[in-house]
Order: sequence, then C-alpha cells, then structure tokens
Amino acid sequence: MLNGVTFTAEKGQITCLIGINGAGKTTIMKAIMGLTPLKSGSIQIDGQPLSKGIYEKVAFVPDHLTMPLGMRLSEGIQFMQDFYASWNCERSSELMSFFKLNPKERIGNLSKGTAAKYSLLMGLSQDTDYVLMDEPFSGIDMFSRESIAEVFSSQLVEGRGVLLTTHEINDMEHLFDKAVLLQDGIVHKSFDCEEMRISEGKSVIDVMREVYQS
Amino acid sequence: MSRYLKLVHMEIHRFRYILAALMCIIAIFQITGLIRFLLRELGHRELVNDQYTLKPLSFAWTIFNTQRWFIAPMLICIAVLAIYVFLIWYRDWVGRSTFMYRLLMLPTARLHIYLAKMTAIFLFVLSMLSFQMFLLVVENIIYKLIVPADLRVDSFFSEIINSNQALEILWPHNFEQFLYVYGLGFLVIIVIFTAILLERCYRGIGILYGIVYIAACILLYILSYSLLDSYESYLYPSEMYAAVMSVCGVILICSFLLSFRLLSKKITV
Amino acid sequence: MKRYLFSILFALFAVGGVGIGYIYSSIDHLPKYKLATIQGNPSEGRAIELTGHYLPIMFSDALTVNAEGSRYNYKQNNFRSNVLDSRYWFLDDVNVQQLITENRQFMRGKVDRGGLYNDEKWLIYADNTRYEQSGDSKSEVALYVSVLNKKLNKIDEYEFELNGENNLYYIVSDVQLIEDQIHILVTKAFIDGAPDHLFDYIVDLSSGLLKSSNPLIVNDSDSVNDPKEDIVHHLSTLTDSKSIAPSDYILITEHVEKVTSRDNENSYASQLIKTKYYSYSYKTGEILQLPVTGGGISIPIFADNVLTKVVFYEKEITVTSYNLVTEEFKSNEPVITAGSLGVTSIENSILEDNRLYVLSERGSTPVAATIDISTGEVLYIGEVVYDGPDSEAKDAMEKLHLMNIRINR
Repeated sequence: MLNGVTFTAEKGQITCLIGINGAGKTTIMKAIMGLTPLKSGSIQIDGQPLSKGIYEKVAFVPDHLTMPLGMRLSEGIQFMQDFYASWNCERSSELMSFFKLNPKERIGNLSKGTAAKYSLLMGLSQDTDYVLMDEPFSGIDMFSRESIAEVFSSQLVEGRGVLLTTHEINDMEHLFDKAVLLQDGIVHKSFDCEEMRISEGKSVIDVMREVYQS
Repeated sequence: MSRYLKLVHMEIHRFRYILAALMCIIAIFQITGLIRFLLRELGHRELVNDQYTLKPLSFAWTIFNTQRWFIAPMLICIAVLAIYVFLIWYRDWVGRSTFMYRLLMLPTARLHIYLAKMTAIFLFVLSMLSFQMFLLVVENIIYKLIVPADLRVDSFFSEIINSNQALEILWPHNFEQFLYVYGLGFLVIIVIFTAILLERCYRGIGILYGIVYIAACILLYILSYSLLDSYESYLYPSEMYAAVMSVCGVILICSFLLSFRLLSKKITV
Repeated sequence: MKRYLFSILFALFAVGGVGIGYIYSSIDHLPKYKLATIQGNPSEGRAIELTGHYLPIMFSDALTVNAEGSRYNYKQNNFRSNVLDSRYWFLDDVNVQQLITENRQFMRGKVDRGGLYNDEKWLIYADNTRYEQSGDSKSEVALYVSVLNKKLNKIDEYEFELNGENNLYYIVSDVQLIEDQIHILVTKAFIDGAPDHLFDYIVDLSSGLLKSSNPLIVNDSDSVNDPKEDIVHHLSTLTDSKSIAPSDYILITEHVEKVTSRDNENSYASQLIKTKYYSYSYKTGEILQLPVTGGGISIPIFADNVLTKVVFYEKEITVTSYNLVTEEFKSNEPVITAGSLGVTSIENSILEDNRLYVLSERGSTPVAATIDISTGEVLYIGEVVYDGPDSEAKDAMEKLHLMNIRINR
C-alpha cells in the first residue's frame, strides 16, 4: 500500500522507479493511468490534474498483453489508429520493420519477447509527451532486450518523459537519468544517476544495496 | 460520438462468428423441421381416404406442428446471449490478455465503453428477432415450393405468430407491447451490468454488493407491480401506470449513474 | 468506412428488420368490417358496438365492430391498456367518471357503483371491509361509510361492525339518502347456498350513528328452502340504472329454482321455475310484489321508478313495464318483430336511455337496429359489411360471428 509517495518525472528524462516486489511500482503506474483509484492525493501532468485528455499525453506500455488474443497485429494497430489522434502511422510501420513483426500474426501466438516488442510499439507509436513502461524487459531473452534498449537511445524516446519500472537494473541502469527508490510505501530516495556516479562514485545498484540492505 | 460508434463496431466484430453460428443453428433446425413435416404430411394425405376431412395445409398449421424445431434453437440462442451479457465484460478482464486495460485508457469518456457494450447486446437481440422474421419469409417460400397450390391456404401474419408458443412471446402483436417487453428485458441487462461493475470494483465483497443491488431492484419493481393487483388501490389506473413507469425510470437512471461512477472513479484492473 | 460496412449493415438489419416486421404485420391484417347505415339516422347507430369473433381455420380472434370500423383485441392489448382497464366495470361508467373529475380525492379506492350516492349536496360511499384472522371461524367485517359534504368540502367516515362468520359475505347493493337518513342496502349471502338475506342499515347523517338494521322479508324466501321439493330461492337487487342518483325505491328480484341434480349442498344444477319482482320503499319500509313476472330471455331495467322488462324471442321483442308511482302496468306489448326489421332472427338486445338496441341476423349478416321504446319507431338500421375487395367478402363474412351488442358513448 502506498502511503505518501511524492516525486517528479521530467520531460526529456528517463526516470526509473525502483523497489522490491510489492513496493507499489505498478500501482503508481496504474494510478497515473486511472486504472486504480486514489484514496487521497493528486497526480498532475504538466501542472494539470488527471482527465480523459491525459490519454493523448501519456502512453502506457504495460507488462503484459492488453489486446484480444484473437486479434492480428495489423488489426491491433488499426484499433489504436482509430482511437488515438496522436497515433503516428509512419512510426508504427518503422517499428514493425525494426522489430521484424509479422502483421498477419495473431497476438495470442506471440512469444514473450515479441509480445514485449509489440507492446512497446503500441506505446511509442503514439506522439505523446510521456511514456510509462511497466517492466518492459521482464522475462525476455537477451537479444530482444538489446533490441528494445536500442529504442531508448533513439530519437523515438528523445525529448519525451519516460517513467519505467524494471528489475533489470544491472543491464539497464546506463539508460536512466533519474532513479526513485520506493520502500515501505514511501519514496526513500530520489536522485540523478549521473550526479550520483560523479559525486559519490556510486551506481544505482550500490545505492539500492545501501537502502534495501540497511 | 464517433469513438462510441467505433467501440460498438468493435463489439459487433468480436461476436460476429458466434452470431453467425447461432443463425445457422436456427435456420438448420427450423428448415429441417419444416421440410420433414411437410413431406410427411403430403405423403399422409395421399394415403388417406377421401371421406376424411382434413384441415387445409396452411403455413400457420405447419408452424404449429413444428413447435419443438422452432423452440429448441431459440432456447439455445437465448442461453448464449444470456451468458454473453456477463462475458461481454468478463472476457476483457480474465485470461492472458487484459483488454480492459486498453479500453479504460482510451481517450474517450468511459461511459462510451458501457454504452457500446449495452448497444451491442441490444443489437444482438434485435438481430436475432429480425433474422427470425427473415427466416419466416424464407420458410414460407419453401412451403410454397413443396406444397401443391391446390392444398395451400394463405395464412395471416398474426395466425403465423399465434401458431408458435415461442413466437407469441418473442413477437408481441402490438408494437407498444414490444417496447414494454423488450424495454423490461433491457432494463434487466442494465441492472446486471451494474452488478458486474460492482463486483469488478470491489472484488470479493463486490459480489455481495452486486447481489444486493439486483435484489433491491427486483424488490422495487415487484412493489410497484403489486400496485396493479390491488383491487381497492388508492391510485387510479393512470397513476398506477405512471408509478410503474417511474419506478422503471428510477431503476434505469440509478443503474446508469452508478455504473458511470464506478467506471470513472472506482474501477480497478 | 469500408471497414465499418459490416457493422452498419448489421445494425440496419437488426433495427430495420424489427421495424419492417411491424409495418408488415399492420399491412397483413385480419379482415376489416364496419357497421354501415342502411336506413335511418346514422347518429342513432354511432354508439353501437357489436362484439364477437373472427374464426378462420386456426384460432379465433375477438373483435369489435362499429360504424368506424373493426378493432381486434389482440392488436389493442398491451401493458398500458391492461393497466388502464383496471376496475373498468366501475371506472368506465360515465357517471363515475364525472364524480372522479369533480371529487378526485374522495373517489380514491372506491370500487363499487352500488355503494355510491350522489346529489347536489352530498356524495356518499358505503362498502364492507373484511379483516381476516387466521385460525378463527370469525373474522372482523365492518360496514364502512364515507360522507362528503360538497358545500363545506368536509369528509366524515364511519365504521360499523358486522357479523363476521367465515361462511357468509356482504354485498352493498344500494345507498340512498332519505330525509337525513343514510339507507345502505346490504345483501348477506351464504357461501353454503342458504338463502340470501337483505338488510337496510340506517345511519343518521348528522351524528354518524347506526340507528337500525332492518331485515327485508320477501315473501317466504327467508325461510329454509323447501326440502321436499328441493327448491331454492335466490334474491338479487335491481337498482336504478342511473344508480348513483337518488331513488326512493329499490327492486328485488326473486328467482325460484328447482334443483335437478346435486353434487353436494353447495354444488347443484337447477332449473328456473319463476321470477318475481318486488319493490322496497326506503321511505315507508314497505315491500310490495309487482305484477311483472319472469319468462323468456329478458333484460329488466329499472329507471325513473319504472321497471321495464324487455323479452326477446327469435322473431319478436316484447316489453312489459310497471310504474311504481302511477301503478301503470303494460304487459307483453310487442315492440318490434324480425319481419319489420327485415331480418331472419333476433339474437340479442339491450335497453338504455329509452332506446332499444337490437342485434339480429339476416342470413349470416349481422344487423343492428335502434328503436324508440316508447313509440316503437325504428330510428336506425345498420348491417355489418366487409371493408375490402368484393371477391373476399363472402369468405370473410362466413368467418365472422358477432354475438353481443353494447353501447359505447
């Protein structure tokens, strides 16, 4: 249960929410997307409270498939295009080619890695200011992970605010600009990764060990 | 509005194969029963002595003698649609893929999701009715092809409907009665939708909330309906009618408002 | 747009199919008929409605035919019409409707025309209420009286306990106000077939107190039914046809029946031997047997102190009448014959407002007529015709069976 979580994720930065299992990372994601009701407090996007307009500003890449299993990949893209004014067709085609996805394939037949790529495609093909990603690297093979990580370094993410959660800190911490550590339902520590490396010579893993093992 | 229509399209699209299968089942059952009866009846008439006076072989008489062939597939359809009233929500929540995530994150008012599912169910029910009417036309043509002209007798539409117990219930002669019967049916669906959303919002205790809500609506309706039976009712007939309609209106509005509130503020995935 | 074509067509099919079905059912209708004037003033036939059935090969459909056309019951019936028809026997009465318009609150919960009395100053209603108690042989029955003073707009209500044995029930037949005394005529009927008793309960208008309950002794009918002959007597009351208006009299009908076969004490078949009529004067308390007797298929009407009995036979209709005030008696005066109407047989008739409305048949064609009962003048004759192509008329008329006549103003 979250009990007084306060942090800021900036546009143009990749912010990582870190915490042990059950710390509330996914709950925060879902609360931002209006998928879990808040008992108290507020969430603001660019100084504005949450409204249905948020879905044109924030894209969400959840940790599992969220499209009907019988749908084909092309039908899923068509579905998103129908509903999102911010949908970028060119970009979705580029990502389909980049990830080597077969448009005629059914969503239910995708492997975990391919499903993760498709989810990312759905999120990044929207021209939104922010992207939320819940465990985008979870349970997928190394090559798929590298392929996804490549996207983070590309212009697809540049200029956007990215808030993500992951347990693959070791492999991925080089991507992060900011880290927010959750423990016992509150934000225990929030820091700039590069500054931490320079000033205290600590990696994100080092800080995590300090916090969670103390 | 366009997003609502797109959602309706999506719901229709997802159910199209099941609908087609149901229509095929109805057609196969009814046409088989019809042909079977007509061939047997014509064969019987050839054998029977002229001294016996037989009823003319009208289309209504044919429908009358194939009750089971009509009623059985109708019951199957009703069962499937009744189950789908629940599945239209639950299929988006359970399983490997939680489509409800996507639906709730669409840049559209959440009531559109509710209205789209409700509209879809309405259209499915109406489409089965329309298909049955279309099938009667086809069956009438088959009847005319099989039965020689000298044995044929025309039937009025009302006779055809009266010939079958299920058709009598599903197709009221009076259009106003159609609105009452199907209006009540749709009200039941709306109450069930609200109960489903209560369960989805509150999970374990939500089942209890849902059951209590359904029970409260039923009780309210029965109380209003009991006014009609009262011999010495304080209310005049026009007031009784207004009371029952008002209660239905109250149930409808409360269900809508509660559902919208649950979808906007309380839903969890 | 092409992607949505299937859904658009599907929705059109769903909604359009139902719409087309109902449009078709209104076009493919059962035969239409109407009552066409062939002689006399059409306005005299405007209120006539003939009811019966259309009988094709399968099923029968109840219908009503009048000068405007025909209406089938199956087309009219719906939830709203059924609700609005509640208590039609009471609420469809024009006098009751007038009272409801003028005194809506007072008239709530009232169900029996016989319990109403109305004059310029007072509106009174009496009825009985039974309070059941399980396990007891007795239950509480009360006579309930509600009095509205129109000038002061004040309602007074009274309740009087009656004998509440479970084997009997009470019917309020008439209410009259005679010189500040409310007379409530109550029939005490036994479930086990014992003879009915009539009582006149008298309530003081100003105090609301029950002053007396006077039994009405009609001939010997209050004695036990004759066991040797197995004769039973049934009493019923005949109030003024404008029963809400004041009347000094009420008529009592006594049917004397011989039991032809009996299952048990309460269940038997019987044959009517004779019918006798009596008048009861509220003012004097006197009961007099009237010279009018029963016989034939008859409809007795009591209006403006005159008992009129219309007796119709297959070929003629006769009228017997007796004026309670002038004692003028007319016996079996022929009013009309089948021949004079140009019909083959007389089927049914009703008497209302000095008009005799007759349903007869010419071959298989139903014919309706309106006759002035006082002069015997035929004011209107109409026959039922098929409202459609001539080629279908013969078949349509053969399947039409009209048996009853009523007046709907």
